[in-house]
This record gives sequence, C-alpha cells and structure tokens, in this order.
Amino acid sequence: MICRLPKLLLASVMALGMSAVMAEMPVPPSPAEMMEAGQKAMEASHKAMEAMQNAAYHGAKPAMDTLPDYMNMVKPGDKFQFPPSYITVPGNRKLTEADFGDPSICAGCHPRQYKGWKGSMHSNALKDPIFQKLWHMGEVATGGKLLNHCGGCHTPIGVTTGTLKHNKETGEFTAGPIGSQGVSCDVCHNISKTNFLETATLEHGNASFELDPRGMNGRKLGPLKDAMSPFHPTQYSELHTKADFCGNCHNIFNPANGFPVERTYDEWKYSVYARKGIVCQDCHMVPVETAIRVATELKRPKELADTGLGGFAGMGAMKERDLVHDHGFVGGNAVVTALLTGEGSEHAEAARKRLQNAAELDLRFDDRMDGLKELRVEVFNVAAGHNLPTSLTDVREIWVHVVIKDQDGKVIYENGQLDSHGELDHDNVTIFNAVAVDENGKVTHLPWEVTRFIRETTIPPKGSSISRYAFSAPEGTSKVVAEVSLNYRSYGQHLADVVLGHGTLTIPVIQMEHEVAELDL
Amino acid sequence: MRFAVIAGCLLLSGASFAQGWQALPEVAPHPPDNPPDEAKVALGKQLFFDPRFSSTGTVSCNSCHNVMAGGDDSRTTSMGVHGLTGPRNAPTVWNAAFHSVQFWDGRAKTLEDQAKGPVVAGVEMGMSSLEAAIERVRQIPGYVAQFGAVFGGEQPVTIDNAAKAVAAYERTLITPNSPFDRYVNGDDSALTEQQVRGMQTFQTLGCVACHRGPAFNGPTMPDGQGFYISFPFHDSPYVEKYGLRDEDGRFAVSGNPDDKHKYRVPTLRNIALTAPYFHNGRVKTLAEAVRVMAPSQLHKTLSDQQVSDVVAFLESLTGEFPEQTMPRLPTTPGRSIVADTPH
Repeated sequence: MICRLPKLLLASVMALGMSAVMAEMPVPPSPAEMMEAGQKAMEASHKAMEAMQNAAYHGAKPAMDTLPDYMNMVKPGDKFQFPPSYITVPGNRKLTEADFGDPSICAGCHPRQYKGWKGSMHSNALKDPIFQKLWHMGEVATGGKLLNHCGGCHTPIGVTTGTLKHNKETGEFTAGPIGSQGVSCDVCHNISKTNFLETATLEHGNASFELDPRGMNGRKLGPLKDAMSPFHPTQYSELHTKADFCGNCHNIFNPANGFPVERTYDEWKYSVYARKGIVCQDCHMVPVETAIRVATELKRPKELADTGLGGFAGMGAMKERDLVHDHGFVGGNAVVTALLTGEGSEHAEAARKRLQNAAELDLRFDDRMDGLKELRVEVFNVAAGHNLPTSLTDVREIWVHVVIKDQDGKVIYENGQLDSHGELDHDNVTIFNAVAVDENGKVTHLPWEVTRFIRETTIPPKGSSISRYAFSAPEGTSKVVAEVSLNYRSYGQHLADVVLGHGTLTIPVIQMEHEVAELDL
Repeated sequence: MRFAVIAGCLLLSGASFAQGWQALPEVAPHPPDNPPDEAKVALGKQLFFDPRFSSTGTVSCNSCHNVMAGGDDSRTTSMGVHGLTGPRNAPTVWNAAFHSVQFWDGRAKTLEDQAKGPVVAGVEMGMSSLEAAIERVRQIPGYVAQFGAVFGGEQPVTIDNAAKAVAAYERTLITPNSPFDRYVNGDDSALTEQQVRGMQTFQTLGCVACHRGPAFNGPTMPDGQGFYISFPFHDSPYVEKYGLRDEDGRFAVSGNPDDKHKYRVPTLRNIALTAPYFHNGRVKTLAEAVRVMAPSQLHKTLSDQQVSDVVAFLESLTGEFPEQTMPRLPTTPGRSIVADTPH
C-alpha cells in the first residue's frame, strides 16, 4: 500500500552501523559474550518486566536481578557522574541550586525571551504530567535506573544538584526551585561543550553535554560574538549556533541496548536542511511564519528579507540585532502546553500552527485495471527539518483519514476513523509512526523496553508517502467527493489509558491538513 | 480536574509577572535567628539614636541615616567624627530591609552585619574596635538590664546582640501606602495623569529591568546574593562630568575583575527625598539623575517631557513614614562613658 522501500533500507543500514559501533566499545562485554550471557536474561526479562509493570500498580518490589543493565553504556565511577546520562561538570564539582539563576531574574533584561520560554515545553520539561507518569512507570520497572536518564534532559539542574527526587508513593518527581523549571535559561546558557564523542553511539544524545555554571553573576554562553551585559559576563559559544547543541538532548537511545528511540537530530543530520546549513534554531527559535519561509526557500532566517525579527537581545543593549531568537522552542506538543498553559494559550496555539503547516496533501483519482476506482493520497513533509512525526515515533501518531461520499453526501467509503475506544485500526490505516518491540518481539510503547522497531513509516524531511485507496461507486453515482484529513496526536489513546488511567484524558486530535477532491463519473 | 488546577496556578503566576508592579509589603522578612519583638525593637532604636558609640560621642546611626527625614543625610558623602567625610553617599535606611545585601558594594549580607560596619569606620563613628564599642554599652546599667531582658543568657551584652537589636529596629522602617502603592491596589485616582504616563515611560524605556520588585531594587535574589549592575554601563559625557567611574565598586570587595564598577541596585522608594544621587552623591537633582541613567544604562537619550514624566512617577514612590519619636536613652549620671573609656 505504501511505497517506502529506500527509506527502510536506509534504516537498516543505519541499524547495522550502530551495532558495529557498539561492538567496538571497550566497556561492554564482547558481542559473543553478550549473546550468551544476555540471551538468558533477555528471555526471562520480558516476563519479569511485565510482572513488574503490574507490580508497579500494586506497589510490589521489582525483581532486581532480572533487569537489563541500564548502566552498561556508562559505568558509574567513570568520568560520568550521573549515569546513564552523559552530563559532566568540570572538575566533578558538586553543584547546588545557588550555582544557577532563577529565570525570573533573567526576565528583567530579557522579557521577550522569558515570555517565550515561560509556558514552553522546555519550561514544563519536568512538570509535564504525562511524562511524569510514564517516567514513574519506567523508574519502577527498571529499579530506579531512569532517574538520571530522563532527568538528564528534563531537569539537568535537578540531576547535577542532586535535588531531583522520585517519590515512590505518589509517583511524583520533584527538584529544587530552579531545577523544577526544567530546561531553563541557566541550563542552555551554561552548556560549555558536547560530550558526544564519549557516548556509546558516538553520536549526540542522552544529555551529552558539559554543564559549567558559575553562579549568579557567572558568564553566560551564547551565540553572539560581541554580547555585553551589565549584569553577567558573556562568552561566545559556537556550539550554541549549531544543531549539535540541541542534538545533545533531541536524540535519545535506550541506555540498556543502545537502540535509538528518539532520532530527531539524526533525522535532521541526513536531510537537505543540514546540507543547506539550516539548523534547529532556524525554525524552532523563530515564529512559525518565518519557519515556513525557511523551509520553503531553504534559507536561514538571516538570509531572508523582512523577517521583522530584529531588535535588542537585552534591555539597554547598544547594538540592535538583525535577528533576536524566540525562546518558545515550539514543536508539535499542543496537548501538554494546552494542559499546563490553558486551552488556546499562545504556546498551545503556536504548536497547533506548526502542525498545520508541516505537511501537505495531494489527492488524485485513478482508474484501476480491475475496474475499481482509486484515490491516491500523497503526504508531503514540506516544512519539518526532521521526520513526521519525530521524537518518540512509536508513541506519536500521524494518520490519513479518508471519507468518500457520493453526490448526495452519503458515505460510500471511509478509512482512518477512530473506533469507540479512540483507537485506530493499525493494520488497515496509513499511520506514520514506528512500531517498537521488546527483546521478545512483543509490541511495546514503553521506551525502556524498546529494543528495535519492526516498522518505521515516518516521513523524512522533504519526503513524501503515497497511499492508495480502492473503492467502487454504487450504481447510479454521478459524482464522488473525497475528503481527506491528515491527523496528529502526541500519544495513542491506548498509551494515555495505560499511563494515566483509563478515561482520564482523551488525547486530542489535531487536524494538520485537509483536502477535498471531486470526480465526476 | 487536577489538570485544570495546575493550569490555573500557572496562569496566575504568569499574570502577576506580566503585570509586574508590586506594592510594598507592610512587613519585612527577618532572618530566623532574629525574630522581632517590641522590647528588641525599642532597644535597637535606642542604640540607633545613641551617639555614645562613636569615638567622640557625637555621631549615631541617625546622624547619617536620619529617620526624621529621608533616612539619609542629604550630603554628597557622609560626614562622621571630626568632620571627616567618606567616599560614598549614604543609602537610605528606609526600606533597607528589602535589600538582599547591604552597602553600595554589598559587602554586608544582612542588616545585622551592616550595623557593625560604620561603628568602626574611621570616617564614620570612628571607634577603634567593636569590642571598645560594646564595652561602652556594658558601662551603661540601663542597657545591661535591657539586653538581659531581650536576649537573656549569661553575657547578653554582645556585639551580635547589639547588631540584632539595631537590625530589628531597621526592619520596622517601612514606608507603605505611597500613591503608587494605592494605585497598584486599585485606586485609579492615586496617581496624576503625568505620573501614569511616567510609569509607562519607566516601563517602556526599560528602567524596570533593574528597578523592579516591590522596592524597585531588582528581582528576588537567593539568600546572601546581591543584584549588582555595572554603572555606568555605557559611555557618555556624564562619566567624566560626574566622575562615575572614579572608583571600582564591588571589585574592591570581591577582587573579581567582572565586578568592576558594579553596584547594588538601590531602591527607588522615597527617591524624591534622598538627593543627592548615586554612589558618589555627585548628581544633585532627581531630573538630572534620570537624565544620567538613560544613556548610561539604557543607551537612550530622553526628551525633557520624558524626564519630567519619569520624575513625576518617581515622586509617587514616596510612602507613608511611621511616626518616629526620639527615644529615652539610659543614662550614666555624673559620668561620661565617652570621656572615661578609650576609643
């Protein structure tokens, strides 16, 4: 139904490349050893983990000795203080919250940046209630191995100050007052280098950065070469101008087996955007209108005329900049932003707008050899510099909903509607996502269980995907009207039900695109 | 339901920031080891007004921080014993409790620490040591009894206890209910049209980037950390005219080159009463201070209209001063402790 062979090939080539890299690593046992030693544990492990997930709900203790080794990529006591994350602090210094500034302090001189950040997913990185629930499940299931793994990117301050705590009773994760504000000003503006060459995959990911805060009046790192501040010293950082900076967190692999469960940075890296020098910041640190121009003209914002994004980077600055970056980091998460900042809030609407401009549909009718009619739907990834969808692709869902009506509006064919449980028919609907399995080949949506994808149908940047729908028009039909929607939701309903409890939240569906085509018979 | 509650809380906190303007609280925060009580505050007030703890017996805290007026001394730089003057303009003691650190350069973290400084400064109260000062207190029986009642213990007359009492008194020196505060609390008639215009100008120019919060002295800082800003940040003819870079500011305390010419952001509460202005007191009027600030900190030049609007707004920050009466001081009849003890 869907022709995507070259991409599948690419995926398997990359998977091979990945295992070759892993085999060369000095720390883990040899592949043969792993096969032998790991096989037994793996066989037992799925059942154990299933039991543990159930146990998680009933408060029973996980059976520790059957767990996969979530630390096998990073050994505690190595240079990494917070395994399995790759965060480092120069001199292994013990950090406290006093090493970081509260974002409200920065807000005085940087109100524009603060306003964008406050309410963004970065600001809610720790608070996101759906993420918290999923993390809790994982934390219980892995016997406490995901604290630094998830926390490394969701609250680097909580991890490095040791204020990140998991309350096993309530399932809640908390950090100090600044750490609880997720990815805040003094996270990014204190990142002094990437540790990607020391990760197990030799690629950016799993919080592969060095955090070097220097306290309240410490120097802040940023992309401007001639920045000056009356409050804090400034330092130019080339890293901040690159996608590699973002890749340190927007690329995640399972620390137990190295499988890349989120590949946003990698997806970008092999795209035409990367070839053109267009980086994450060029789309996600500008308003959506500019991002669309970047994607359409394939030019960086600074090369575009009349973006209207100039101004002062800070209050009282001497020099007006051609481009002052937004700090809302808008992506596709219209669900959690709406939950936390209110339905219709600026942040939720910005995410909705992104989604509604990322893809396009092309509809065509054809006659088939067998006499049936065919609707051909092509979905283009026109404006995302990564796959559609991206990040946890085994959880996200983008799908095609086709309704074909006759001249009187009577439905003669439909595909892609939700069933009474809010689910999709995964065998017959065109869904762009990934299907993940655990060691035993059993389908799973729980990231810590994932060992590989058995199907991967996301649409690469500037790529497209074609689906064909065969139908027959009943006798006497003079015209058919095809109404096609491309829909998105951040999580399948099943996952929401498992994570949050059945009936807690209906994951909203966002219509990304809608096209209508008519055919006179 | 739970989600709705979370969303509600976040919206509220967002709104209060966006609005930005905050009335002055009527009570100042105090450190856990120095809770205020009436007797302690009364003792602190006596010590604050008592000149006997200066070398010559002529200078008290109130000499430079006159609480009958704007909490300062209206001088360019303060005058201490023997008519000596120091390098800096006296900051007002009114609302000093809302500063996260004390002195222009933040060298004292608390009011308690600050209280110990001027007593032994050669150009201020000129005592040879804090011990010598506290020895004088010990020679005044009335004080000994009061310290005992307030602090208890075997030797209640200590330097730290004296500082605690003074600080406790200073935390009562709050001036709420200014026209600005009344306006923020909903009384639209509290400000004149020009003051409202000045308030908007104050915000749009960016003054509020540093002069924010209820005391207009910056964001809430972690314990013991000051809000320091380079002054002047930009070059202008005023630098030379008023000698604005003649001293090093916080650098002299921290030794950190990044701290050169940095000062704690002062409160703007009652600013209309505390001329002359800036760390060196070289600028005589509020209008001129506003004119100096715009190019120095914001890289902007103001029109005369803007200056007078902002000045009008700043005048609305003059609050209500709690009545101050001169305290009775315990005496040593027939004996002067100033003459009798070495300093």
